[in-house]
Amino acid sequence: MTGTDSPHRPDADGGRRAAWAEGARAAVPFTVAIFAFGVSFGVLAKGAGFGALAATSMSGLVFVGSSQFAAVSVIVNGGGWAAAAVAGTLLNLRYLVMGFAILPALRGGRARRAVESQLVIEESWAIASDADGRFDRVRLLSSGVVLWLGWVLGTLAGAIGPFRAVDILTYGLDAVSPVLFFLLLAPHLGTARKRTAAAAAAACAAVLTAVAVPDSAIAVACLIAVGWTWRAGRKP
Amino acid sequence: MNSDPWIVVGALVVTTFLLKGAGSLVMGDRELPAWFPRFVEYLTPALLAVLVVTQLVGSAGAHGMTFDARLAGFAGALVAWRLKAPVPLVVLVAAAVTAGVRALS
Repeated sequence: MTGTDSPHRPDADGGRRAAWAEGARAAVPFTVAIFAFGVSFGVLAKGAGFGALAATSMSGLVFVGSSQFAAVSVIVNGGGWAAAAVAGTLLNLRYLVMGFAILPALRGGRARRAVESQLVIEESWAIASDADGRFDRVRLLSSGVVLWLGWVLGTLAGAIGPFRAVDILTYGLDAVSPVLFFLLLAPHLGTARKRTAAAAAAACAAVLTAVAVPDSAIAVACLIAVGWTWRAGRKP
Repeated sequence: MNSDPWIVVGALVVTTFLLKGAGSLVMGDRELPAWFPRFVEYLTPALLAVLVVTQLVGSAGAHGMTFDARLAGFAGALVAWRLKAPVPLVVLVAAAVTAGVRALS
């Protein structure tokens, strides 16, 4: 068996620790916002007949805010469990693309990589991404764990605490996530092609939001990326 | 007691695990094609731009675009960002301006 007593490499260890700290620090502002959304999810789930244990387990194991909100909203509006599960699953389809994108950065066997992929959400995925299209595994895991704690503890607080969903609006916390996504977007606008890809995707998202199908904008972003990849391949 | 919540939790846990883990479950140890990194290079800005727009003018309860105090908060944050303010301050400006405009209107 090799590698059990491999020599200590301070350089690699130091770089790793720095990446752990960097990912966790980058996740903190997002975690504040996610905690607040977790609280409002807990409040909504409580109203839909979810016990605190069911709501918190859902946040811990699914860990996708939009999908959980969609599923629970279906129940609130009188839908059945199958319709709720389908609505939640449709909103998760974007993770198919993001999961493939992060794949080259992950380590170990098939099962371990599948488990590590569970920490992928928009925020951790963006924090882990480098401008050259590659991803850093350590930043994904450290930011993912911090965000996960915020989401789970927020849900628990909402499910057992005296909070109301209105508080989010009172403190302007709904403006935090677009700003944070813009801050994550900024480093990815380095070339003219990337800027036009982002602008085209933003325009499509505005149109699709206006006609009330904002969730399909994720699929359109994939198509735009395919188109831009094809153009870049033809004209290097 | 109603067991529907637990059925929804169970169903969503399974589909989420499969979707998030699909990459490694499907690909195994095979390599991704050569054009894939370039695709991701364009996918990242496109996806993040979509999220900025949908979070800024989208609304869970309403259909269509919603123009509210978030826009003022976003504009204030952009100014702070241009002035090279640190991230926590940029976020604070966004929340404070949004809350302020909402309280006044």
